[in-house]
Amino acid sequence: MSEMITATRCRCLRSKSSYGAFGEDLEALESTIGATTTYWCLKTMGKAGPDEHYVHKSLCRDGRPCYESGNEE
Amino acid sequence: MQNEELELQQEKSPEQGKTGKDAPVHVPHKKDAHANPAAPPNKQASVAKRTDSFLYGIPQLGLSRVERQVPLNEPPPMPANADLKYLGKPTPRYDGVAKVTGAGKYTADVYLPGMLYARMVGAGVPHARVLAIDTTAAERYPGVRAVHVIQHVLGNAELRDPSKERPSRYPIVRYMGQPMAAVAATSQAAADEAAALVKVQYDPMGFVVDRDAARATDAPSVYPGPADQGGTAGGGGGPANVPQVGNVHGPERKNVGDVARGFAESDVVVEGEYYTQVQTHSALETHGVVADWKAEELTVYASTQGTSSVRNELSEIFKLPKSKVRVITEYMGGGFGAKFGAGNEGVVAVELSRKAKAPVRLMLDRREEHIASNRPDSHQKLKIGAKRNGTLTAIQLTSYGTAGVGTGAGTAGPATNMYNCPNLLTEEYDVFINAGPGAAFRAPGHPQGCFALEQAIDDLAEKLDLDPLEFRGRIDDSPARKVERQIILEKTDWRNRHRAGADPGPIKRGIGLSQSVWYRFVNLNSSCEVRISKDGSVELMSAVQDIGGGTKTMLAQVVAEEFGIPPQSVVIRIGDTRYPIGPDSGGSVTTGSISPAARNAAHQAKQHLLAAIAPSLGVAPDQLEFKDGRVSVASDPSRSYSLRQAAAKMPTDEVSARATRVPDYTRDKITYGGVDYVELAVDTETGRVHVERVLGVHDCGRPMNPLGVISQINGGILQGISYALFEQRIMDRGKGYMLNADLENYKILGAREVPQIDVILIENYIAQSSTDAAGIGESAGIIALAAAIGNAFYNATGVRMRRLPMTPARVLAALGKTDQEMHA
Repeated sequence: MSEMITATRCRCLRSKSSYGAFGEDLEALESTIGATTTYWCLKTMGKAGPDEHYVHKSLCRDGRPCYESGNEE
Repeated sequence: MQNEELELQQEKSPEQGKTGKDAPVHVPHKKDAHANPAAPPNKQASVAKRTDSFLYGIPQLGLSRVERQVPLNEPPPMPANADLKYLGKPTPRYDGVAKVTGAGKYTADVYLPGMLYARMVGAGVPHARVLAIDTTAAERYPGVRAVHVIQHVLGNAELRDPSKERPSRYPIVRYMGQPMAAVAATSQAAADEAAALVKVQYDPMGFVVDRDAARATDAPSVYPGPADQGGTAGGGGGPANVPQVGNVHGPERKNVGDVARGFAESDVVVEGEYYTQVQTHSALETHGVVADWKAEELTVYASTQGTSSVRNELSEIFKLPKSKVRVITEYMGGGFGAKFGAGNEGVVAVELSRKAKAPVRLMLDRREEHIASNRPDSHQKLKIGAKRNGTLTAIQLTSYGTAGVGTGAGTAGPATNMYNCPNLLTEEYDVFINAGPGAAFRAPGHPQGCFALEQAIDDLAEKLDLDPLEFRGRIDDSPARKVERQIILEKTDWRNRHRAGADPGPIKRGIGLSQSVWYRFVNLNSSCEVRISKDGSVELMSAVQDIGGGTKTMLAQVVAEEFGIPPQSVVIRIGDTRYPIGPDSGGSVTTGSISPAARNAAHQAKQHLLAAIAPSLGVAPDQLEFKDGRVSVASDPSRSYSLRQAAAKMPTDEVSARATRVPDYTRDKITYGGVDYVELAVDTETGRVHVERVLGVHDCGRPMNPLGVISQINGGILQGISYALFEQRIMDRGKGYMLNADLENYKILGAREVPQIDVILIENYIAQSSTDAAGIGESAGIIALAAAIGNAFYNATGVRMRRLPMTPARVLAALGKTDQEMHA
């Protein structure tokens, strides 16, 4: 579950959670403290992505038109 | 000690992350009922280890020792604070003089030759399509050197349902003040004037700035959809349990056991609704940067909680190698969670600098700062069941909160993690409104969650006819909080408190308390270099920033302790990405992450020094020992040298060592917290609540600098009082803007509202790293104060305050002194 989430999350998803910027352990951290994470898109520096939909861990995934894989390099 | 080859769970090294990924954070493996089954498995690696014996426990409960397997190059276990010379001792700020004399340079103090001044252009409507942006007049204004319009990346995305919203050349405006453009000019006044000349043509859309109104099915949609993200043939897709209907996103659901069964088994149930407000970060230093784009390197002075996070983002956005992006944060005037990454202001300043070929300073003004970030509000429905014997049977929490155009309004942390309860159901919803985005804010979600939980626990205790402190002792298995509650009992008049509402007269006094919980997170992107020069001087270098918590002082103490020299004699160079990488400062990770790296680097540098001078002393390095600031030959104590004398014997001009944080010695879930006790007076005629005394008893592993820790707790307590009684963002429902986006109308606690504050720290040795340190930023009062004030208010008046802030109008309404119930 966690690996799949990690592998499919957009590389441009950013989080201003309490512990700053973090990567792969997002789910584990959130399950500890609750849904207290805010997100932004590195392409727009905003809460909406280039497609004007909001940015969230559940949405910035493989299949969204503006998705960019973190595994491509 | 014995050496072993062990299988170690390997954390990612700082540079192992995928391109575009941020810092890996080490999360303890959970053992309790709320363990995360999705914790990522780590790769296995073989690392040589030895077994050391560590101090363990809390002095008041009796210290013991535990064995830990540690990497071979770890320094020896550190003794208790009482046996140390510099660590654990109250130490004045390393940079205190520089701060109070103005010598310390904050980002807004940076002046570079030829520097330009910038001003952002914010959206003038809360929700609209942008038809055109005309910058002609601004560009012609005297002194203007560059104008930048924020544009979306065009052509790389198609709406899933194109009929919902047409593609736009410009970002859709979703809140008043949303960054649209920026101007750089030769003076701030010129930039301000020119920014006002940027003409934006809007096609307005309906908007909503009220959380409850936004939940209505016919409310204007902040975003056009979608409800969720469908999976593809290649996988992916959002979790099925996070739908969105209209502006309501969620729930994020946690379900442990069976709450229905838990309530059926309960003898007593309490139920209540609690409301908390939007609080803006209000850091004294606003968000901002000075960006200097040069062909050879981009240099950015940033007011940030993470130099590395700014470097990484700018590197990716501008397609620059990280090696050509330098970020500097020498002094930093507060962030409280809102200053990570480059931010719009950072990206725009770099764009302007590149266009103008000159350095550009862009600091948000106070109005922009209020809009840029906030702590989300909440509407919580909390239900708790318990048996007559004082054990919890079920906790159910449903919360709705708005982070404006963002997410992050969850409140379930305390309900999930504070007390033992076999049945738990939490459902957290984000509600989008057309207001500035939420951001992490000192213990995200926890002040809100505690405000509900800790008042409900008091209500439950009353129904069970139990003392609230005793009741907490039955349901809370934290050894630290057990000690903290005992200290509260000993240091206060708790046992003699009157029953709720029994205080006669118009001024009613009451006492109350609340507990807090936070978590041990460690960021492995934490490295230090320690250098010893031939003259005996010692320096430490790291990119880690000091956001005001006293990181410089703490690092100086760590190195001083290792070398046996005064902290003031150690030179600390931090806040510059040219140094070894440092952790972002958020979530109380900094001290716990960076201090072991500092100690390990100092220890290894010391070993290098001994190895370097051993030949000149005619002995083997292992015959030399470093103690109390002197190097001695173990077999001949008469041969003893000061650090300066020893360093002079080095064959080269310097030795240095670099160390990176290793994972905690175990992966147990570890929490921190505290108990905050409040005495207050309620004027039942004016509605004014005056907090008269706070006693905070807190734990944070090994307190490295008690003076600094207490200072942070003082700040957290004050911020908590301010949150409970004063601060509140007020939105104009008709126009969609923040009415009080300034420090005159956005009331923050002032000197007259500061109570007597006493802080007691307890030592809690957990044997997890070479320093056993942890952070205090989150659990330092801010989590518990609103609930403690609520409980003290109830003790004073017999009336439960379920809505923040407790303004005089709300107090009078709650006391039945006015006809109007306040909902603002």
